Amino acid sequence: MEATSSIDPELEFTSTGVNSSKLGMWIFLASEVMFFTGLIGSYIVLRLGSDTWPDPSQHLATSVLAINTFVLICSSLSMVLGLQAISQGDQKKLTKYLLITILLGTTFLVIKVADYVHMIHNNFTITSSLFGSCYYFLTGFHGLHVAGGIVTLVVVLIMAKKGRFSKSHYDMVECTGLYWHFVDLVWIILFAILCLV
Amino acid sequence: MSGDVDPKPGFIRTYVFSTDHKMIAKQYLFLGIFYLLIAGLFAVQIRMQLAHPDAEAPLIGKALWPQTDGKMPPEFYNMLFTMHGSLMVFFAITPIVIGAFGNFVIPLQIGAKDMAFPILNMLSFWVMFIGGIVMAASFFVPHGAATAGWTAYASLSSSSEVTSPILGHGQTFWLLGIAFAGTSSLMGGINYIVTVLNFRCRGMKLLRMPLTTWGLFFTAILNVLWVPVVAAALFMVLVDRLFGTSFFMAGPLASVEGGQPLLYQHLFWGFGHPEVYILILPVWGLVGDLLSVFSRKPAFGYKATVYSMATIVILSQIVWGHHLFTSGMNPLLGHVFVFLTITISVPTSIFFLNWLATLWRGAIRLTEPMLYALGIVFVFCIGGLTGLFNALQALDIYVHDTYFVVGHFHYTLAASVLFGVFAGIHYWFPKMFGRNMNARMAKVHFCLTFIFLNCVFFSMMYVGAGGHMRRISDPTTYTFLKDFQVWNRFMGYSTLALAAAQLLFAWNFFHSLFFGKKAQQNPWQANTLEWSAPTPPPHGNFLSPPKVARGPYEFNSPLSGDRDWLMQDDPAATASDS
Amino acid sequence: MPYPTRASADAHLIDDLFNLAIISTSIAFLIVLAMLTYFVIVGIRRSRGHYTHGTSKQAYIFTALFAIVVFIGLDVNLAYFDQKAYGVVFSRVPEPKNNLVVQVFAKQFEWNFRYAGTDEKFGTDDDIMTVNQLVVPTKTDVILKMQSLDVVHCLFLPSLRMKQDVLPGMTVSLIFQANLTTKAEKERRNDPEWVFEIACAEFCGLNHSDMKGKFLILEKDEYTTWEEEQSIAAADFVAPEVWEHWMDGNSEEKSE
Repeated sequence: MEATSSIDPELEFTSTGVNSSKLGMWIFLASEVMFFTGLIGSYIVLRLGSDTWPDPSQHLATSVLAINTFVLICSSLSMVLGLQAISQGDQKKLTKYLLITILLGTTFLVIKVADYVHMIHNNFTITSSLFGSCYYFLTGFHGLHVAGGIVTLVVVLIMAKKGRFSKSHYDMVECTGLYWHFVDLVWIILFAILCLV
Repeated sequence: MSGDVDPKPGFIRTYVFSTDHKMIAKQYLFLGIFYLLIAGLFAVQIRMQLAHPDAEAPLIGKALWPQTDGKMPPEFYNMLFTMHGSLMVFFAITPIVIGAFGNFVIPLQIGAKDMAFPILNMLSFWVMFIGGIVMAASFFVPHGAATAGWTAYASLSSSSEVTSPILGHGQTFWLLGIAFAGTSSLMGGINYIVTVLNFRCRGMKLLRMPLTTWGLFFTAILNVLWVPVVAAALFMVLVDRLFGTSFFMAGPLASVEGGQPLLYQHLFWGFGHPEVYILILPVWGLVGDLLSVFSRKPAFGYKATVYSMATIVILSQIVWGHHLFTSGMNPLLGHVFVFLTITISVPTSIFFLNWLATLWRGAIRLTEPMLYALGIVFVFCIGGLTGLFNALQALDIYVHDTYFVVGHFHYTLAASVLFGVFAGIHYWFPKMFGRNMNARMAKVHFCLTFIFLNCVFFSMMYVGAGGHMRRISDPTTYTFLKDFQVWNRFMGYSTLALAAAQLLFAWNFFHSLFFGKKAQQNPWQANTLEWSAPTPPPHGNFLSPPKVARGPYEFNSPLSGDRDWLMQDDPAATASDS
Repeated sequence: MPYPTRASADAHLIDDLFNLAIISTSIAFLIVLAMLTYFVIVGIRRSRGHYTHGTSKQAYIFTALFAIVVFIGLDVNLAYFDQKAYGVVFSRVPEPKNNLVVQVFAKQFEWNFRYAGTDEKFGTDDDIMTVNQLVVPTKTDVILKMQSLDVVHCLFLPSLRMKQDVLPGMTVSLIFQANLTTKAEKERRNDPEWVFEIACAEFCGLNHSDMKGKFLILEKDEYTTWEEEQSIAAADFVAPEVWEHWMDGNSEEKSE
């Protein structure tokens, strides 16, 4: 993410009228969509081509993952609330909600890792079956995206504490929010196609 | 942001970690030329090996392989063609055409002070740089660099390093190196798209942008969309190699059942086919620009050219299957891909129509960029038409993985893009470095390059028609290829001559850097905005923000008076709407 | 053109297609080249170019017409003959009584072939196994059933203009009929050393260049003799280890 602080008013002019950071973020998300399309598409092809695909619930703790999904959705919600707060100029509330988002995101990762450890203990590993490979590979890449999101959120939090955002200037919060919602959405899709179907 | 111009940055901020798009362009240019040199030398070694498979490899043979009397072992040959392709595509052409030209030209041609995200821009160069170092380092790991071809087909490339080590660690380095290059392209792509969309100066409507910028813009779109897809595939290969999974492994080598080697080919060519357009689109745009400037005549069918480019961008994403006619893909799918692929020749033929119509009734100035541009029309015509052979299912099955295909894509990628590189360097050198290159030397270089390049690549297609397979280190062991050895020799010596001719360019380039004649602001009398900026342009580019009044090709306009050109931001005449 | 010797009745379709493509693209190329040269030579003496502004309606119509002419004259035309050739060469339906099934197992860096032998059943003692040598009778539909042990290979039969990737984990087939014997071609060339060849066309690793073999085409009666001799000899012969990995079991009935 590019820091887009200290904008000089002349540069606010853009040919399309859309804020550049936001445009850049949307384009980045387009490429992320293609990345996960590649991964999920491969997963679908591999799964349809396999005769020995196991029942996901045999290996996965679906209830734990469902709780985790809930955690991530809550974090998206708190992100929205944070954005709403700063759009009304409430810096304190923004800090609070950012902190909640970070905590929820971290909770997601902690549950994720605990879940990994538990499954590996039950002999469901990345090499135990094609399903195992796909599961760890897809959720692993998603986990990396969550981790990246948390790091960005921490940076945003520090900036928020320093009072760098205001009612008229909160692009970075908005962009981070977009990314965070995207990561959330990807997880919902992954949860559905890996654990439920 | 692009406005933060530090008036006196230190040495490091100016020359190393610069955020100025022009400096980053120069860094990309030197990086690209370096890898062009390396990968070019690999090409010479490859052709010499094929010319004399039983002889000692020249220069390096005795030193590297004393135990075989200097004969090149097959693993080294495999390494050569793998790294030749990979370095050329990802570390020579991409940095020069997209990195250097894109960075230098886009902000200048649209009248911006800099890229949208200068720090991201700097990072994209350094990520590419790290990728280049990883690739170079791969030569020094046990078993040397990657040996799976630039396409790195699974399951050769994805065989586990742990359980079934067919290839050495070099392949893993290769994957990482390409991942870095891809990340760099992605960062650059986002930057280019935002810059073009948002940072155009006043009056610069989208349909007033020069064709080069259009080409680079479309290239950026394809990069952003398809690099992630190949990244997904390469990460799966990486995990297969390092953790012993079997996404692309099947049969006895696989650790678990159900992997699909064919899936890799679909993912790779899903990216791979757009990739060839990623590399050629900026060159098409450049040809459109140059033909217009040096015919002193507006580009014919400017809008049709832009729309054709857009059509190709769309079509390029749905034709990858013509790489897979022999792969065991469903034949019905093959018929569909034949149809989709041949439709690409519609927009391509419109390019040729527009280029020729631009020359028609023009006042031709055979300057050195123009020579290269005309050369591109010639070689790309051959490359494009031979592409048709590969689109035809029955015929492609015969020529698949033969030198016919190699000849074809060298005409499109090597010949056309290389001429594009030379055209671009000669055209923008005065603006970039404030000095002129030697015109006569450039013309000699063009003629020699043109001749020998055709000698090499046309012969490739000829032996390919005879069924000569690619990627074999010793064709003499095949009875049906015996007659082609004389052609292989011919190609070998032509390659040597081609390489020698590049010394002229190298001398011209580096000598002119320091001792060339000081350049004027607009030496080619072109209209586009980069020539309105001072030479060389300062940090921030334009002395005052330009205001564009017209399209980029108003040559010989009734408004232009005595001169035959009319700058895009020339306030002298009233705005004309184009 | 330097095409290899044709060993099947259909191979000429590919050569004809190749020639047609060369002729039609050459015409297109020469037109472009002629115009390019002419415009440059004439234009070089002009001092000022011709001014046009924007794109006229006529120009758009002309462009569209031109594109249609190229598309139908060049592309559709070639694609038509291509699909016709594809239908004949690559969609061959084997004759029920007159066919021979050969199993092909590709591994780094050799071609393994297995024949059912005289009892026409795979997985029996009289199975004939050869390495780097494909023996087929003329005027018989040969069905190659191919698998790979390790990486992607590609069976290339230059004399038939055919090529098929061989992948691990799946069986692909290739069906052809040869009509020219190796012996006849040797006599015609007056070269007793000469052979038809098979090659690996997909890069498959270290010694890819050496992954090749002989392609012997025999008269039908010669083939029957060869088959009988080899079947008898096969009983005392230890099968190469690679066949233990053949996927569909080792007792496949002769198909069709």
